[in-house]
Amino acid sequence: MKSSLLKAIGFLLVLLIVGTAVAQERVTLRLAAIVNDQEPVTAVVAEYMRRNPHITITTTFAPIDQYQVVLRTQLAAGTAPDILFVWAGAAGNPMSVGLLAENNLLADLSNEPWVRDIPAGVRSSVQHGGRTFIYPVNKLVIGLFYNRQILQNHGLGVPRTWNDLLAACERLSRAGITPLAQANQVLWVTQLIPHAITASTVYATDPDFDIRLAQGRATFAGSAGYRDALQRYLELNRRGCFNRFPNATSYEDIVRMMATGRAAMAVQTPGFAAQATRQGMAAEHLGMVPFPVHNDGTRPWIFASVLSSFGVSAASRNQAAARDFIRFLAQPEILSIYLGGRIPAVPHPALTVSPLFSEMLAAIREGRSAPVGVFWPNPRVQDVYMRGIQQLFDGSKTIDQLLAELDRIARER
Amino acid sequence: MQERRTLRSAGSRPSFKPSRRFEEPPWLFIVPAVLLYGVVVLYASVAGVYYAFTAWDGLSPTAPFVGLANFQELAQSREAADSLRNTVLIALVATVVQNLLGLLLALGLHSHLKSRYVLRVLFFAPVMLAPIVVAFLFQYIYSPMGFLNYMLAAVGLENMQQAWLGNRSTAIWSVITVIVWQFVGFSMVIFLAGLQGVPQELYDAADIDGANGWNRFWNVTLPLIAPAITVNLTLSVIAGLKIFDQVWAMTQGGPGHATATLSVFLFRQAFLFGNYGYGMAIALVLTIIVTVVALIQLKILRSREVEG
Repeated sequence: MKSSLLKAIGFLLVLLIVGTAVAQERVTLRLAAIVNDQEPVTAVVAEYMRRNPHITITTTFAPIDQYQVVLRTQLAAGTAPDILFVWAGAAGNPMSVGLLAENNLLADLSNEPWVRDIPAGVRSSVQHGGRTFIYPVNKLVIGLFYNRQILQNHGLGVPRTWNDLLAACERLSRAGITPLAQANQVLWVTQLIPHAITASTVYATDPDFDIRLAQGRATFAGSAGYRDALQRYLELNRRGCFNRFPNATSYEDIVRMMATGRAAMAVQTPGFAAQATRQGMAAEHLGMVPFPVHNDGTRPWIFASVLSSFGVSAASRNQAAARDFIRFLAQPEILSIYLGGRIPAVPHPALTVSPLFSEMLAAIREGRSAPVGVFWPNPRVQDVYMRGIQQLFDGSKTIDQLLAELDRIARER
Repeated sequence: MQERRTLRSAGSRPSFKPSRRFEEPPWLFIVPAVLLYGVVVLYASVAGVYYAFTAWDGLSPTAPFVGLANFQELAQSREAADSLRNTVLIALVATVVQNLLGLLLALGLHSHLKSRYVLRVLFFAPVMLAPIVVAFLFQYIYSPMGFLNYMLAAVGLENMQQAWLGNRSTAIWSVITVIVWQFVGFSMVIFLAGLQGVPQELYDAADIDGANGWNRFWNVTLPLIAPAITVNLTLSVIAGLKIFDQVWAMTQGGPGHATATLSVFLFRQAFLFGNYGYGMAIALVLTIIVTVVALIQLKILRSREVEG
């Protein structure tokens, strides 16, 4: 009787030990990202779980503003997901790597094997204090999308100079076609054209402008390039390059305008191509080139900055598994699933970029790109810039007033 | 009491007398609710008040105490002044128009109209929609190529087409229109409830006295629906002062700051710019404004109420 009891206890103990060991092997990770990247993140996560059956990853996606609000709260409370989408740059975004790393909220990933592959030009965007905190997936670029067929039908070539662009505006608007679809009701869209111009007029000759701005050694008002960019922006509006009421036009409106052939061009980011083709635009009609700024044959610079990046929460209890997921993501075959032809932040010969972005990629490879505004000293600068542009368009602010206000805000910490 | 008596009479032992602890519900029953309320509401509110006096960025483990600095900054902020002006304008206009229209609808539907029940449901339906859904719906209606401009063109009024949400002179009125459209049914229902409580005899007496329609409304209906007016005006003003969803979804406070309200200003400062302490200071000021306005309004309106 006694030995039976001992056997039973022994059996239970073995079960307990084995069960505990199995339970320890099973890991559940939480991952949060912006809803724009839901499709590629979901695909990569599914692949990771297929190859690592003992790991479960639960994902959460939210629109950008909600994501920033919720994640900041979770980070402050110590309940953030293990793996999180983080923006590159110093302090220009409320969820930028600089701000989070400054507050010790991200795990230091400097010793990860993928760190050595990050190009020199990208490193400063993913580091803080010389240490690497996020893995950069892709690059956001701003360029001029055009409908090849509409331009041909009106005897126009792809605009390569500023004057080409103005001439195209005139001819197309006379034909009743919107030359440039512009959605200034949406704050982030307002800055695309000035970013596309200042890449050439400011950052091509002064790549450290943002750094000097943060140090108080440069000003917006003192920058001829910024003034010129805003003047050109208003000139495009004055010359009828944009749709009627750009300040009241939404992003969905301009996607429809391009997809239905009511607009010939738009200054946008790569995601626009997918949206337009999804709404019925023939992919072969769509082209993308750097925004034409010069008239003397000088090749323009472009805005290019790290977009999707992932880090590990410093409070994560599953550091090893979370780091393993990012190592998995950094493999070229997995990255290609995520990128789907978009431009990688960490180039690799095995990664193919869609021909649509070939001229943008060439500009990056030739060093003609700048992460405009990514190192602005605080998030309010961008907000004042975007709202100020709306005010320029409705006539309630002048360029001088806007530049002065930007300088005042940039001095705040 | 009734229940206890029944229990006693139905009991198999007539001598049973419930002990004192069954006479009143044990106070321990309310402990979970009080704890929950304390943690979720009281603690959060008190912490919010404390943070209004700090420069916390919403991320750091420390929140440096800065005294009244946030309030000084708020008092000097042009953006805050613009937001306050917009908030007051929205609260005032939306309250007046929504309640006037609500009262007219209630009077119209407090009749023997055959379709009155269907119409009541139709006018109340927008109240049941989420404000965010209504905002997106109207964003489409107001868009340059949207329904409103299309209709204007269809009736030959192209010159009246507008950038409804993109022009600083029309944006705030467009937002107010949406708020009124959505909540006019809410005011209507409360007025209807008030109207149904007015005794028919008083109207009969007024008829005998030779009162016309206006006199009946002014001297009988209006005084007797005063409690409904109090409820409607108080709720509308509070909702107007706190308005956020519709504004954020339709304009994000733009163009520029043309439609920014105090709630939008607060949200941006606290959650988008990381000025959490400053954001809490705005929230505290907004709470004080709402409380003071609501109390004054209640005091004035209550003094005008009469017994039915």
